[in-house]
Amino acid sequence: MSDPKKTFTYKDTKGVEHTVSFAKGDFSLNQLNTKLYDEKMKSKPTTFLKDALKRFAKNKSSVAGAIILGSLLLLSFILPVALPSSLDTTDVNLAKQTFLAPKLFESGTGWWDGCRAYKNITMDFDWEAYEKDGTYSGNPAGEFSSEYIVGEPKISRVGEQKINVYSPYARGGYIRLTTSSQKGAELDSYPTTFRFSDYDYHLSLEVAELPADFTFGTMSPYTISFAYWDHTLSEGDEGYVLYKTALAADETEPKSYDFALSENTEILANTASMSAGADGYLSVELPGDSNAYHSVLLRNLIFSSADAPEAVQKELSNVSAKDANYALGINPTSKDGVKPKYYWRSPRGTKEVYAADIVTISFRYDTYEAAFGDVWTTGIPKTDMKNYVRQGWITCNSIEEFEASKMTDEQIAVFEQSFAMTPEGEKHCPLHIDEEHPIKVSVVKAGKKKAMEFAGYVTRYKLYGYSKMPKFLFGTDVLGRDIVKLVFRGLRTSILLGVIVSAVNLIIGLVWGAISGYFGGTTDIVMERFCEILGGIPWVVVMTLAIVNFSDKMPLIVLLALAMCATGWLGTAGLTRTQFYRFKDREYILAARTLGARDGRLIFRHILPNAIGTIVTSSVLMIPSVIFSEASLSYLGLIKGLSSFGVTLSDNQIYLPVYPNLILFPSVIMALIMISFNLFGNGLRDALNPSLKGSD
Amino acid sequence: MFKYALKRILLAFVTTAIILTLTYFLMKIQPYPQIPGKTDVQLVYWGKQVHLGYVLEFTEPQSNLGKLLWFGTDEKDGVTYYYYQRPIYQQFFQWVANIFTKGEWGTSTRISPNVDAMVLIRSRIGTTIKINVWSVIISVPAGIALGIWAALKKNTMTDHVISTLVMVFISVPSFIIISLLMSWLGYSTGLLPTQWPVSDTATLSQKIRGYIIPVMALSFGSICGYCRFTRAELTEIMSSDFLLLARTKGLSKSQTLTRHALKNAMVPILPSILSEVIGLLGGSMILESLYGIPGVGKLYITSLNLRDYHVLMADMSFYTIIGLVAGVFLDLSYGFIDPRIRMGAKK
Repeated sequence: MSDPKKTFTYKDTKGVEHTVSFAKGDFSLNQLNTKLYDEKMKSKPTTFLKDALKRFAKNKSSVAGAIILGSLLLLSFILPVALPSSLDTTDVNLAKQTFLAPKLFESGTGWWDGCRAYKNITMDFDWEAYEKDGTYSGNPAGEFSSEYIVGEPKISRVGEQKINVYSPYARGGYIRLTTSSQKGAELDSYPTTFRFSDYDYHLSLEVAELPADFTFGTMSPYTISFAYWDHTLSEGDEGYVLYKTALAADETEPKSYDFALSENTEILANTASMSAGADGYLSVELPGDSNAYHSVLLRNLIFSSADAPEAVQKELSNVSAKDANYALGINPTSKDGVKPKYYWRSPRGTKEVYAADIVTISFRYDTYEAAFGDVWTTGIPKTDMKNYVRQGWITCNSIEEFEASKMTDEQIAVFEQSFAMTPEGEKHCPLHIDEEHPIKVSVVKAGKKKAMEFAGYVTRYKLYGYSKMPKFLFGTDVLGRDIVKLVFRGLRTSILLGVIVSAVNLIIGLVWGAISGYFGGTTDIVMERFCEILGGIPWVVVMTLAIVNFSDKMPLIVLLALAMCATGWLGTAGLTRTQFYRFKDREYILAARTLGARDGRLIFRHILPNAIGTIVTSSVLMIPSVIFSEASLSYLGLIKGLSSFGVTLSDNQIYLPVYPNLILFPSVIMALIMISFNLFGNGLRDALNPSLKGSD
Repeated sequence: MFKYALKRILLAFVTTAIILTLTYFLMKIQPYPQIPGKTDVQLVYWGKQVHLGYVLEFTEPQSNLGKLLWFGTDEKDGVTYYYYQRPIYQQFFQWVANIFTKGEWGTSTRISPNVDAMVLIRSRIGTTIKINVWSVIISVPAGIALGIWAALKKNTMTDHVISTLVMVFISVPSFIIISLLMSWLGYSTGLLPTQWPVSDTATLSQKIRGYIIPVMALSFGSICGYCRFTRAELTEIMSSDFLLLARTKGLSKSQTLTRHALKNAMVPILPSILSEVIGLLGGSMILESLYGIPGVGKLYITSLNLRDYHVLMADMSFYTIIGLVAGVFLDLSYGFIDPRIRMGAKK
């Protein structure tokens, strides 16, 4: 076949002319006898999980929730192991670090710095100095040491703060006498010996007006009397009270009294004891009233004598109550349980101090310095000092000098000066030696021998085994345990419990729901009724029955898990059942069944994969609710002794008024866990069930 | 409808009976509750147990009746009495009979000895109801209003703020909220009492201020719950076709909202309020324990901690019945509120 070539000319874009020529035979059919199939896609196929992950990643808040949740989970496994502080309550050093304040920043920063603010702490006030020249000095009463106060403390003015009970740190005030029933009230002063034949005696006292805000009843009619008694007889005997005179009877007005006792008191019964001088006492009486409380306020109660010798006057001043707080504060039972001869009595009614002056101080206290800082320690054993020298932590003139107990004072002074720390010692040695913190050496007698004793500044955190000043981010609890460690250890337990419970519930619920939903009919009805009855039991009842019957038979965590699984799987079962109902009549199931698929295959290969998203989501969301339930039960005190989150909270609940940080920090972590779990769960649900997206 | 209601109520009865039977037998595993106190108190207690038919009384020790519960001599007639437990199934029937004939649920042994359990519950339910009624009065309107606001401003800043707050408050456990409220309002600022004021000595202002923390603590959760529910329902309805039709017919936005959207949105919300009100009778155990409120919830915890089994049994019955009644109410009220929903109708 002739195949003439044809020639074509064309211009390219630049205007240059080209000539090409070809014949028909130059062409052939490329795919004439080949078979064409669908090619495999070059791009990688996406799986359901990857797709879900992609959808999940789009949801910003859920990702944030997942990150927070993940880091908290990670921390709960790392922190309990990584943190140095011990949780072992038998550790003796823990007792020295109780109730430390949370510390993140350095001390003195003013916030989260390991200092705790104390308001209006009673001050061990130097009253003498104040009375002398009005200076305010003293230390906070109690376990506080003024050297650990950070910043300028605020001291209240005298007269600003009043106290209505006896306090060893208070001054002045009134004696308040209050009736308690229809029996009325009586206040007896210190009794003392009066010798009316020899001296003149004088008594002055003041009955004060009740303040407007007085809460201990109304002003009562009162009687002031003076009595003698024969102390050779006992109370109740005839002739016990020798004479009683009413100095002021049934008064109702506040008034100042001034009695010349010698004039007013006439001695009637002249017994043998009288000549020796009888004991006399002041008595203030209030009549009883069964309907109301009555009070009087007394002050400046002074027995005196102008012409008596010094000793008698001193005894009189002892029995006076110039300072009501002081007079009432003397303990009626002395150390060995024997009552002292003199004390104020109120055989009827109540006596108490009213409106005594007290000085309070408000300050910020560095709890870490107080627990771990340097402290002057005497009696450091020689062996310890020698040990430090041998280990190369401190240096001194020569180690032999430790035995030279016959050194002169000058030699000792040189020896003291020679102590210094090495760089190695700065790290490990509990002693703190520099120019401001010298070592003192003294020679004491120990039996026949003389021995050297050392005193110096000891850095306590080194003594307790810390290499630097510890920082407890959330503070420490009553036993000195680190709250961070405690909280995260508790979190680990709680989450473990949550995972176990929800896994068990998932398995039981899945099997139950699948059977019930797939087979339907009578099986379904019977199983549903069973669930309905079980579901009708309130969870408190389940919990109660578990606690009552099994609390001493199994570990608490198992008990909790069992109780929570007992009715917890019902939700998963119901959900699975609904999902199975939803999918079991679909066409693809029918198709699979027609192809001969058995029940097992239909359930596991065809229905379950479709339903699993919803079911897994509900299981994940069950974890926070388990944590929640556990925490609530522990918080109520029904679960004790578990190392869980709720128990930590519950243990510290009583310290809420004083140390709110013990509740605050764990609460924040708990809230964070709950919020992030919910965010994560919502994101998971949206990602696994795109059709549900947007609904709450 | 009537048939369905009857069926539902009957079913609830059967469920209650089964649960209470189970609970009774599980509680009876424990030893028979003993009462502390002197002979006269003991005699009153055991005499009552005999009268109620749970315990047998003899004047001589018996060998075939199991463990001796208690014995003691009555000083009046000088006779020594010996008490033995009846078989548990007999006690059970007796218990059921006593509930229906005498309204007798058991005798307290620890909380206040020799007082009827029902008397204890009744004396405490008033306080619980008072607190909860206030919480409902505050939380229902507030929650629904917030929900409506959020739904109307959907996807704006307002909505986001409300939704976030709701999410936070729903996530945070109630005991934390209570603790923080107590710490902040009670201890650090001193504005409110830190414990429930004792009713005899408290002044009116103390009493009123005592309500604030518990009502707040109870309301936060409910407000958030109602808000979320309302918002979800309302947003769904706001995007439905019939509302669009109403708008095209010329109704203003507020008219469609009040006349169509809200009415429909309330259908699932009202029953849930009803059932919650009934559920509230049980009180909040955590709140009542923490704030020292002498209510039903605290009674439960106390009886569990003190192992006062008779009160505990009465308490558990009370909670079970409340739960089931609330469930029945929830189911039935749907049909009453929305005539379109025909409960129990076949497809």
